[in-house]
Amino acid sequence: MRLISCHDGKLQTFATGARAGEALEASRTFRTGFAEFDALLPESGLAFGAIHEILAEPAVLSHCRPEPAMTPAFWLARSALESRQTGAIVCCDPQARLYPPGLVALGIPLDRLYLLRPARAAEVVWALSECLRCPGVAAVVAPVGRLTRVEARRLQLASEAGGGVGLLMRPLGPASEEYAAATRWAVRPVPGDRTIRRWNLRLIHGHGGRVGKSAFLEICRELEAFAISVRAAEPIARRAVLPAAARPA
Amino acid sequence: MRFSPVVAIEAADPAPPPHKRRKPPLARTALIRGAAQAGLRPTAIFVDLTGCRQVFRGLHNVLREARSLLDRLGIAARLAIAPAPGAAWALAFGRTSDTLTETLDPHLLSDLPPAALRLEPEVVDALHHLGIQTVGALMRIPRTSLPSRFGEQILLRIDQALGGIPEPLTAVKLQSPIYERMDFDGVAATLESTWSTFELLIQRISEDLLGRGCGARQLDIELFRPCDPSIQRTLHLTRPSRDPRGLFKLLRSALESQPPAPPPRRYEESTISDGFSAIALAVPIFQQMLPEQVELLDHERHIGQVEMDRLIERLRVRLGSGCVARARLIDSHVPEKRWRAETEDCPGDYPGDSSGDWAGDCPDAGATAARPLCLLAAPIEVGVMVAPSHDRDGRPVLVRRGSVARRVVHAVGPERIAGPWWEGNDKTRDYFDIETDSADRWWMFRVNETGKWYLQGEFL
Repeated sequence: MRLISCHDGKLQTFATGARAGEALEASRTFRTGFAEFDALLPESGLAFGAIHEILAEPAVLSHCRPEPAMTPAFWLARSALESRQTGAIVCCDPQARLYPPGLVALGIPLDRLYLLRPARAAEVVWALSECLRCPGVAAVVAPVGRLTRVEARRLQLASEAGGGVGLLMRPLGPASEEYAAATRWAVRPVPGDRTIRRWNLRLIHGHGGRVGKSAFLEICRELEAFAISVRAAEPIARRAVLPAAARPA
Repeated sequence: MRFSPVVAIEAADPAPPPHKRRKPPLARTALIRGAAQAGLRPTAIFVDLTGCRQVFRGLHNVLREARSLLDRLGIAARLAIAPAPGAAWALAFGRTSDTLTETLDPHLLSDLPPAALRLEPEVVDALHHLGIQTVGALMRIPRTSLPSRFGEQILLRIDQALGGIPEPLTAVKLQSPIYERMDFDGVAATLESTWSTFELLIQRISEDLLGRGCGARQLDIELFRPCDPSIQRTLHLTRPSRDPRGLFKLLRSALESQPPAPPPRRYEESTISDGFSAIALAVPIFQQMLPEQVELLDHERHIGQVEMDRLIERLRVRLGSGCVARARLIDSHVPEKRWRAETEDCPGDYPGDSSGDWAGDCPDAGATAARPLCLLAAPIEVGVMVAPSHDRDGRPVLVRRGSVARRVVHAVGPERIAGPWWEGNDKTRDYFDIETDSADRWWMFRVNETGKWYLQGEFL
């Protein structure tokens, strides 16, 4: 039997029985711990064993190609890692641009980090799917451009098999038309304050989530007081289904 | 006196390869044979004969049987049996005929050349220049004056030859190489036959490894071709393995990937379709596999660790060894020298393993200040307008990168970082974390001595 529901104008189906229980199991999902962001997520949180896409929107005045939104992607990877306790983060870095001390500042332990540097673009999807299929990997963070439908689906199946999270950083636009992701986030750097660097994270796809709503990820840029905070961009009505107190923190 | 007879065999030419040796005619000669096989290509073999006198009914029989065995094998060697290894070596070196002595008499060695004492070539030369031609002449020199002229080792060697210092022999373990080869009667041209041959060879090798209780750490593949030189690939494994399925997958991905050197054709197109005359697999490095005790609650972590090691093997085999790196922080304040990528094998280092010194070697690893996630390969010089102008301590207000100029909205800094004093001048940097009006977040610095501005990183 399948239950069909309508949420945020989208039709959804839920399997009942053993599979439904498995899908909703708390260990298969993770949350960031920031209530304003978690309020946008689907009921059970962000799913493990799935692909989540971080799509970079160009900044307001910028004419150049949008850069991958690395800070939000690694912030989510860190949440996944903290939720799983074990496992590694594999970071695809073909151009050797990544600066690991910056990851330390974000709270990612370097002893769990593997840097993947495929020399040929043709090998990237193969290498990513191998990493996602490995049960020892908690999260794979990778900049990915255009994917074919088959490639996108291959990555999704690999993450289902491995149980880790695939966080793909892609540009928003025609290059990211093909996807097989559980949630998709449009991320845009927005003007911050003197001490705050700010990103806008807008959920643009995700069953059961508040699609279209957004939150601000704020990172304090003071040298001594490094901190992450999240602010809601617009008021979001409380969910009627489950009281907030009953949700895992 | 403790009696410990020793045979020294000085081989004049290298031993023939193992497969040319015949079956031993006598079980009692297995002792010598084992030593000869184990030492591979030695110039000298020591055999400990302690307690063998009764078995061979006298040590002269040992000497005789060893001589006849060596003659049959075609090995030119000199034999000597003596109560101490040093004396046996000296007699085998200095005498042309087989020698057997049951007592250690200093006069026995006195007519031998000093080189018979296993001395360094420089010491032998020095003795030769001084006109000391025999061990007897050497022993007439006062003992206390020897070390200052010829080094400490000379006294040790004299004492070892005279049996004054015990010299225990360490046994060499007999280990035949692991090598499997399949020759075809024609040229095997189909891909299926190649893969099934590999499966068969891996099955044999893993049975061999199972018998030894070992796992392979390195796998050498050789594909013989009828006309062209053979193709060789080497696989390195992070942890010892003898799982046939895992090894086959690894080997397959190694051969499917593109060959490292020219011709830049794929294996399937160029070589496998041309066919092979033989395929050989060898395991030059193998390691004991001990059954691992996994803690009850640690089971998941252990599986993750094993899977992670296998993943890295697969990636390294297919993409090249430099494709997977670990990041390690270095205790340096200069940003570009703050970390290094390590592509070496580090078995045992596993995510979440607190025993490693990943954080330990860097005291302030956790307290890293705001650092960008992207660092440019080399800092780019940018034009910057500061306020107040003409002030070397001014704050940036406008940044010109290439042809576009951006107004600086926020700037946090300066954070002053100076390089080490021994690395030249012009290296005191004032870092600013700036945000422009188009929400670019840049990490820039001004070289204090020159006043020039550089863009080094981006907060993406």
